[in-house]
Amino acid sequence: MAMQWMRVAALAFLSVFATASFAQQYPSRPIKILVSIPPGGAPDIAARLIAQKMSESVGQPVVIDNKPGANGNVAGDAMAKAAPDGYTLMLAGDSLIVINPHIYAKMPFDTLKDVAPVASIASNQFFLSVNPSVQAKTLPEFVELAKKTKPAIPFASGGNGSQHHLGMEMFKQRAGIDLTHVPYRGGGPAGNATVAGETMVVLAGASNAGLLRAGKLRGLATTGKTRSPLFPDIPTVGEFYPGYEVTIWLGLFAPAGTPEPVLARLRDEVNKALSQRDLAEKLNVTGALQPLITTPAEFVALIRHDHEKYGKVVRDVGAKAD
Amino acid sequence: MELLDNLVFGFSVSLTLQNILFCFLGVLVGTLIGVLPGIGPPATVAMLLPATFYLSPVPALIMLAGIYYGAQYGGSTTAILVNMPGESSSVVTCLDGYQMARKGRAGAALAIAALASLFAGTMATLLIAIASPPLSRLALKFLAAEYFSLMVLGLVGSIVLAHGSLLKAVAMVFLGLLLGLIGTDINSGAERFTFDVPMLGDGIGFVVVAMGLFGLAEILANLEKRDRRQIDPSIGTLMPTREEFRLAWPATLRGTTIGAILGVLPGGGALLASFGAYAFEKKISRDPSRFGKGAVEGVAAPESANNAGAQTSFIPLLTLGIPGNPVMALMIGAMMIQGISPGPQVMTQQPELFWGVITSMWLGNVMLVIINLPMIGIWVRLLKVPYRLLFPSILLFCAIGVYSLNNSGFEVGLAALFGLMGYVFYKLGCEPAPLVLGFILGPLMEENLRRAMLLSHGDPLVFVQRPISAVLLLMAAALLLLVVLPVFRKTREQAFKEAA
Repeated sequence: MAMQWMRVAALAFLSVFATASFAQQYPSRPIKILVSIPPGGAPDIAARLIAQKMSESVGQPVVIDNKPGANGNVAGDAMAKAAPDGYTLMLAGDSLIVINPHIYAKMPFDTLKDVAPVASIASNQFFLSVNPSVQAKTLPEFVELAKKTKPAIPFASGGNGSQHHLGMEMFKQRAGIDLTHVPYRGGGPAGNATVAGETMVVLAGASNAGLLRAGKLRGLATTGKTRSPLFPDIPTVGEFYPGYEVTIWLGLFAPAGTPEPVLARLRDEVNKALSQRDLAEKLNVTGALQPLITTPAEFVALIRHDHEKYGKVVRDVGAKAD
Repeated sequence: MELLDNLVFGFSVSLTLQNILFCFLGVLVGTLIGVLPGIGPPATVAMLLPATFYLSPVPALIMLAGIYYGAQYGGSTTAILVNMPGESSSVVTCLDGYQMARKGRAGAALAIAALASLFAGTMATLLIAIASPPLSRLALKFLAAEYFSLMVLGLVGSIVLAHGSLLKAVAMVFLGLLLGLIGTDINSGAERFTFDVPMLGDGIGFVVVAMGLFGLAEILANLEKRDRRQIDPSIGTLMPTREEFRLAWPATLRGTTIGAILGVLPGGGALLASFGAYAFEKKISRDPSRFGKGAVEGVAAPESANNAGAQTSFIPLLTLGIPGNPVMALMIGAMMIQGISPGPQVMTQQPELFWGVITSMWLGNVMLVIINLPMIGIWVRLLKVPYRLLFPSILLFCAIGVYSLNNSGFEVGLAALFGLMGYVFYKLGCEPAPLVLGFILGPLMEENLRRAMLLSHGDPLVFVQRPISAVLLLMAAALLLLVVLPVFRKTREQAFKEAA
């Protein structure tokens, strides 16, 4: 503990001197962005798109370093323990910051204290869909059906403790229904299993958009604050159960202690990149992602809010990874 | 004709410039490692896995497939000219191939091996094209219970068909199952055997295990062998005599049939096919004493069989998503890296991948005949590269390959550890293949078992009530029973001994 305080004090001391000149020079060498998934997934593509825009405007290469493992804990830990100088950043999904601390008995780092939020990047939402053979055509019909069916209708998720799982548990609580949880390895396989009729309902994101469009799944609702621009005909869960919302987001993070001027510079660069139209389009194509531009205060509030929301549902259903 | 349409469609994919190029690259590398004793297809495919990430799925799989069947061609060259198996599957080709070479018929032996392989390759390609669609239609009915039973069958099969001690094969399967348990359990979300090491949170990477057990261990094992290769440069005419042709073609036909069947079996593939075909040829011959003294059938049968087996082992992979042997397990890894979950849906969702890879096999076989016959001189020269230059460079590429997967130094160390383990297994006479199958099938088996139980609300009878699942379990039970029966056990040991 004492060591930790001394480190913080020393850093604060140093940063007072360093900040003024440092911020002007920053960045004077390549910036590294750690990504918590292997190359190729939507967050990785998003990181690469942002990195490209940033390196154009800051005049230094911005490189992507994929460090997958333990639902992002490997990348998060590496970032949290890196020098807080603005040269090691991390692009991560919300689950690392707001869900992992609740489901891992031993987190290698504190996702709130050891991590400084830089900027939110993009968001998307889940689809609640059913196998087309299911009688229910609307969400209220489905809730009715679920209440009558014994034993409970099986639902597919992307894994135990995943956002898919927790999002559905929150819906079960709100709707007062019971469903049997059947975990798969990610939203894609969960969607396929529902198409095959192994499970009847699935809550998953962009990976299921193709199945919905092809009519192999019937979308009953989306989980965002507003309807998905991809499927404007599908209502949100919130239209039936006000206040229910599961929005998943990506953000850029730096080690705690990174000087504020550096964070501000990075935030400006990210927001500048996000307001460019071509980037927004590419994000949409890769993972149905919508740019999410927030003020620092809004982003911090979002993190706190989601951290509490998932903490509660994890405690309620008892999901854990230890 | 649906079949014709499919094949035409497949060729429209495989005949694009890019895919021809990668097919050629694959068979070229295949021939190369086939010719070089010591380094086999599992090691090579394992080493090249990270590189395929930068390709799109079709050329990646075309190239990897080319390496596997290409190695069957190259392996025979070394067997015939140097009396050393370039590949484990050409062990039996040494017996008669080298004797033919000593009689001055090296060229003819090479030509027969290549042409028999081409014939077998063509037939096997056709067989895959005919048998796969109905099989994958059946497989589309597979839900969790069926998958569980299928994997039980696969694991039992890998025990029965492993050569060497049964007890050791069982032990290796269980070790593989245990290693597969490491990491986060998807059903409960609990971490198992990770010792709080975050790098183990997702389990041990398949490439790490494969690269260590096959790649690094093979290099270690080779280092202790003396580098004793005598190359007889005189190859003579490539043209077989009329008499040799007359003897070779029925043997090729039989070899192809046996190879095609043994290739489909779980645990089968090129190796088992060549052993089986040779043993059969010797058994039905009117004069078995000719074998081992340069019998043409002793080259034609195993060479056609290993190529047919190498190709038909793609059938369970492409239709069921179940790997029959370590190379196929690596192909699954390659598909998963590309974001394709292997299974019956591949044929309908990714027809260009399915038919492109199948037709590329025929293309590759034609290329192989050209690579191996007119260009034989190059491969002979390659045999003279000393190991002290060859092995360090292979080792370097292994290390780069593992590192580039997850940018993790930890995994390179882990691969080295598995390399040491592989060497110990080699010393103990334990085959790594059942371990790898246990490692890859185990987690899938558990996942499907628990999923089936969840869906049946805890009723274990679901595995016998569903007809396909019940049949698969019965087959597994029958196989197990066979293994325990003394009669079969003797035959099995006999078969492996005779061939070796």
